Amino acid sequence: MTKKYLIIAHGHPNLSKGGGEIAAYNHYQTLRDAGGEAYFLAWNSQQKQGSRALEQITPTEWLIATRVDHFNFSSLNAEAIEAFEALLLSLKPDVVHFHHFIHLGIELPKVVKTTLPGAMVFMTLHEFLLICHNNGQMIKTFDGSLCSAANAKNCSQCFPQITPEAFFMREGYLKNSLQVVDHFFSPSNFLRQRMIGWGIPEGRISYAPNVLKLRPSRKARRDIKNVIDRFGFFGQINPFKGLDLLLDAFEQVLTKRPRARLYINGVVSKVNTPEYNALLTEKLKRLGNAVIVNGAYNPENLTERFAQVGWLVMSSRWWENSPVVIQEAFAANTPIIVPDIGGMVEQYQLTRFGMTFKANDANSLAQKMLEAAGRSVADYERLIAGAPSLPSETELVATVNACVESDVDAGSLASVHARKSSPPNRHKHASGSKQKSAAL
Amino acid sequence: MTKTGANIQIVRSREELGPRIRYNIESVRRIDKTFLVNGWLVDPDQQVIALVLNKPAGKKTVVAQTRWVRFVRRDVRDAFPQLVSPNQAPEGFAFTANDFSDPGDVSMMSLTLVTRSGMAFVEHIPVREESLYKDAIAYGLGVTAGAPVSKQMCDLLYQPVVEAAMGLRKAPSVIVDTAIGAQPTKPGLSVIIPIYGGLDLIQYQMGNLAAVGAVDLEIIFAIDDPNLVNGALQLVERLHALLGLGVRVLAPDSNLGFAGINNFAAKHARADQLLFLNSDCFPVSAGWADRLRAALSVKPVGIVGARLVYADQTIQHDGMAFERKAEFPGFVVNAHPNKSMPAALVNSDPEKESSTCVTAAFMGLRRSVFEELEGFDEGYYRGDFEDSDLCLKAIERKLKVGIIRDQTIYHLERLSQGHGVDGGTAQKITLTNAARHASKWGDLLEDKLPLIASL
Repeated sequence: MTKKYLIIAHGHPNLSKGGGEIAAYNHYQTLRDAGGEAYFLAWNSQQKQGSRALEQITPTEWLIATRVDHFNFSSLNAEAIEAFEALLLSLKPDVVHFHHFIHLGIELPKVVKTTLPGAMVFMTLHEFLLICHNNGQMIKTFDGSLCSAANAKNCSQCFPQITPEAFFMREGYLKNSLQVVDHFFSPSNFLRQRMIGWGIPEGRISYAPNVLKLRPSRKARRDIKNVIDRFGFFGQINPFKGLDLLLDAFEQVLTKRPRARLYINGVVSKVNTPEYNALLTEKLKRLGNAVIVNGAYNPENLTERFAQVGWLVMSSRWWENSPVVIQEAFAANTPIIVPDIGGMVEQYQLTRFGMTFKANDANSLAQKMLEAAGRSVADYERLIAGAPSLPSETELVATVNACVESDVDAGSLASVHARKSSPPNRHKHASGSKQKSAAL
Repeated sequence: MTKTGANIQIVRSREELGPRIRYNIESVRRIDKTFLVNGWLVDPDQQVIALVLNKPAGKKTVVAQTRWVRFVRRDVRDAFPQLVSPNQAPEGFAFTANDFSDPGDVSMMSLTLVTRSGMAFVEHIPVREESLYKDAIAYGLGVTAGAPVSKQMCDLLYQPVVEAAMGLRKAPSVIVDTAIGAQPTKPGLSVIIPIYGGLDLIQYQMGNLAAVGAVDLEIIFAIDDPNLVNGALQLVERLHALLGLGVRVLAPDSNLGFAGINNFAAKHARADQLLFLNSDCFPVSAGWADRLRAALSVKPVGIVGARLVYADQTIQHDGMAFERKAEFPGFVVNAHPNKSMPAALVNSDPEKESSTCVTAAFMGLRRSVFEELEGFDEGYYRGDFEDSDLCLKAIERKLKVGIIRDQTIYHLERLSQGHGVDGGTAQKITLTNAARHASKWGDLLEDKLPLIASL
């Protein structure tokens, strides 16, 4: 008998086009395309006065009006929880797969298990919010440096108004709430290792890349000679993504390669400070016509945008998880220049398609960009001939589905004191949903 | 001027008492059956021989000097610099008197100041009634202003004030007793969690107990503030829907303090075994409740506590002993051996054990024992010493106090306390409680008490 799936996401791509939302929706669609019975429930990001707890988009897709507190991620809207329980009882899914918990509530897996004790509960983690209260960035608030593991005392240094005890209790609450999740998935090994470090037993979290439904567009590479010294930034414009750093590096590049060009694709984040925006404006003014600001990008204009450039440059100051833009670059046959940290260096190490630079170092980035721009056409052709292939959607969903049939590990989430102290091994590439872990 | 039979001359003004005597009776308060009088007196030549309190036309008198405490009043010194001499007694005074029958029948009290030369001045001071116990305590602790706290101050002033104030409280009645979610039909252990000062810890308690609680636990949130009750009910309803944990919300009609709320909840609890659990105390080991229950069934164990640790795995509590501290001369205070030591490094050695009592942050008892000991002594204000007091009552009755040390139980100490009082007042309360504890158990504290048993 085929299984019935309910995929739950922190947003619907109709309303919000984040990587996690798209991955969740693709997951759902791929299950349906394969003839399975699958349903999609997403957080209603456009709740208005009078919004109902549950709103239908299609007969198999709904929006739910949950609200959470942004410290414990506890679900606050009782009416939405009642609607959720009613939906569960009506659909009776065999598998409930959460993509994220933000906006929905950390306790929802527990609600599923209470309402449908026989259902399997899975969760794909899309970033580091469980570990880090600073929007999951794992960047220290006081000096902008990278953080590698949560610790109640250190977290309180980032947020002096919150006591270490509050962070300690938060961690306990999150872990207790997630005890019922049968298996976790992570779209990157880096995130997986970070979550193991936080306390999820190795055997209860598997690597499963995002389902992206990208169509390779290799024909885009027609005019190689003219794109070797053209660089593309794709993403939200905010300090974490580090466009300012890229502009500094590009200024150095221009002194030696005045014909080089930088194409900026993305919109300015609403959360930026006016000071940060002014800084960018001033840098852009200095660079003049060498920088082309394209504005927002979307799946429809993606091929055209990537055709303008020879390289994708990421300048993020934080770890990132599994940046969709890297997969998009691969699909567009575009090599990458990325910081040597986190989910970005992981993609480089898996594919060797491009190069890395020292994170948060404009000089190092400038050097790599010059090296890239200096490549011969033959060299560049050789490089893109080895562009990585993308995993198929069905292959990805199969990885996840394998867990449904597997003997899922029952090790409990490590409490704070039992948390692994060794640093996570960022290079380990694991899948194995059938791995067993020692109970902690 | 009027002559009395005892050669006392009653003068018509304070000034007639002498040029170098200055004084003021600032207030006479009645707290239940006790009068609290405070003021100041500057008398560099030590001419004043008595300050006498009596009901107008009443025969019963109280001489302040037999029971007053004196303390420095900077404001008075600044006002009369010409009268200040290094040898004089501190200016401030306060005393209590509960020697009068029918204390409620007067609206004025007479205060008479008598000098060595036989002159007296009588004034009638309106009595102000303190009807709310917290206000009474706040006033009583405040009359000494910023003067350092002494044992004498606690014994003669604060303790009688607190005790009188406690008499103002009426017997509590239940305003809420609501079961939310499924309750065990025959609970094995009632877990009593007092809530005061804020509700946020309820969420963490429910999250933890949903994960590591046992099926036969009756979990009682005892809300010790009527203003928090509605919020508590809403929060618990929401969390029950999310976590599936059944709990009971119980609330009296007034704030009872730590001892009072625990006694109140114990009275309404259904199980034969009780656990008093602070809201910032989290047993996280699976099976902890069974472990406690087994320890409680060992006789003659009367009380079972536990090793508690801070979030960083250092010891918060591993039993309590009593000690004298140089900074608090005259007081015996509760000490916590091994506090802040890494738990993994502390192996309890019976030879080195000095603890005799356990904390009520995590304290289990059989109901029958709790009733036999008549519960926590509610004369301790705001939560201190009532736990060692209860242990000492058990010891007095030849019951053993035991401790379990093989469970991980966090105590994020003081998150559940410290609401609403400044440091100075908190210290006065602690030392007043210490004085009460010493006056109750002085002899026993000097004896060699039986050590806690590691269970």
